[in-house]
Amino acid sequence: MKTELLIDALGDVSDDYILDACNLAETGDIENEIIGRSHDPEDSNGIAHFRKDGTVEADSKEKKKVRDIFCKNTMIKYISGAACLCLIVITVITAIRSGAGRSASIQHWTDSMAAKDYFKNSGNTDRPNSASSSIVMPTFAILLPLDDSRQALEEAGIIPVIADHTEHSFAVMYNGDGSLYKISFRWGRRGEGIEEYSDLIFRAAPKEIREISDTVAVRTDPAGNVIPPYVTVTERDGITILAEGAENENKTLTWQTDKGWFQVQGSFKDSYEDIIAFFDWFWAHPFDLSDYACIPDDLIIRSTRAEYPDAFSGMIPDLTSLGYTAVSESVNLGSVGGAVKPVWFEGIYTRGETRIRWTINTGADADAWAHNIGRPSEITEEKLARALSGQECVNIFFDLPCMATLTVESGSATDAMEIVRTLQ
Amino acid sequence: MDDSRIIGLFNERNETAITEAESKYRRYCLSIADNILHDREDAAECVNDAFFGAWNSIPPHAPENLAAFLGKITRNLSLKKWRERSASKRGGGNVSVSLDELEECLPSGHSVEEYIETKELTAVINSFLGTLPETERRVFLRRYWYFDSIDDICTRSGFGKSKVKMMLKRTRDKLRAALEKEGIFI
Repeated sequence: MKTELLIDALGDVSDDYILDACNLAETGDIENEIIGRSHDPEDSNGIAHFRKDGTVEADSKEKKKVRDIFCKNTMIKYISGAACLCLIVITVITAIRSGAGRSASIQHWTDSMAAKDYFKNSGNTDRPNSASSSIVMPTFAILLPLDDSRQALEEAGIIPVIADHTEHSFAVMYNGDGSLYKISFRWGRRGEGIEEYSDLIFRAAPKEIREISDTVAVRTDPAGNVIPPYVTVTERDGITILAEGAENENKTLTWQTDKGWFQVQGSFKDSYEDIIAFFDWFWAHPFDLSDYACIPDDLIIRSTRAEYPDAFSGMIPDLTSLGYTAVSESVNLGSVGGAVKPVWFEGIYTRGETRIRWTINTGADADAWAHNIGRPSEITEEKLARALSGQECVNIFFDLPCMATLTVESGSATDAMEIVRTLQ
Repeated sequence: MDDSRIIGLFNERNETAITEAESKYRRYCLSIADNILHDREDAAECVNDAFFGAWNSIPPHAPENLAAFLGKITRNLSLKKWRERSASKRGGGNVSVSLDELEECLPSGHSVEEYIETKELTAVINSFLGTLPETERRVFLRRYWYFDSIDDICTRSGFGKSKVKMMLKRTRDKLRAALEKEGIFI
């Protein structure tokens, strides 16, 4: 099963590498590379030619007419229903997560609720996965493994005892500035057969974790009626619980209190009962994030750029040449894979009335990506001005990988572009 | 039709996006699914689901490369189906062989608990792939991304069997060293 983690991780490598692997031909004829053979008997030779310019030429004996792959009515109605309803679904979810009031779709918890009732809006068909971003970057900077702490955590009543889940991986993840990103506790059970497969995960964070993930699908039944979205909202003791997933899918329950953001997840083989029992334990034993709020001193070095002048070399604008004065330039280094590496930088600079902050993080979540305007070479004055018109900061991606944030605390888009140009 | 126009059709929720994408990439996706599943019907089902998945994903996803995007969805779905079919036993097939070979990449001397998210591991593997000579990287990905058989790789590349096997072994050793260097144990 562990090698399957490698297989899965390989699945999301660079698009360029994946497609370049289609060019494996010793002839060096790059105009007509073969990208694969179909085992379809209708294909006379099953070969398509994939040219380097990205065009595809079907085999001359195989001029198939365009076919309708959605031969079932249900599929056709998926398409017709999806467009107008996706937006509504997403809007509803966003409103609920932001605590923007109740809607008629919220059910109220009772102690007679069955486990499956938490997921009453779920469908029961396989949902296709979607591919994630082709740019891969961690969401955090520094990892603190807690695998050796299972027994101590159980004895302290911080985590449940799950005796038949002998595999586990526990970790705390910190941002480069030393703040807590999230905690992840995973229990695993493997056996000879698929029926014994289980993965139960508990996650906790100071604020909602938003990582790039699958989109929401909308379904309709054969009659064209819309099947309610598979997010079920339950209110329990004044707290909103979002349940997502279904049978034969991963399932999650997510809730937020004044203590933090929490989520439990079960695998496609974990039943509704399994995940609710897991959830109920954490509901009854509220997790205290404050125990992990401070990164251990031995995991981080807080220093200055003067001490580490090569940190993030090439990724910090040459502000001195533009007449700026550095108010402060801080660098954090962390233990990453056994080596000490820069994980965070923050510089504050002034020039007259203008005040700029340049921050670099080696982790990025969905919010960071949402504010990303590209690599320095991709940024134009127009793009930057447009991005800064509604906010004071933008994110800029570097292939380290890392994400820089340019914050114009006081100044103009012209000032910002002048700074970006030093990196182009 | 070029990819940017096809993606435009997806964004407009125009159903011809699927037929255009299929016309261009169905065979590519089928080859990926077939390598994993060795079952025409299952492979076709996964490919159908992949195009449906693309329909559900674009927007908001805006793939930089449509072929790779569809290929990844197909691969994910095919692997999921393969796991559901054969989790109880590993008998033959390219995926089983690839898994066995990749065992060598796992650093030894540590317990098998996994404390790394897949995304972080992907980042390390991406960096590692960037260090490889072009041909070695292509062979590695044909084997462990596309699940080509050794014979298929030989046919594609013109290399002999022993050369391909030697190349893969060398790359696996390098990957193992790269994972150890990053302190990644899975």
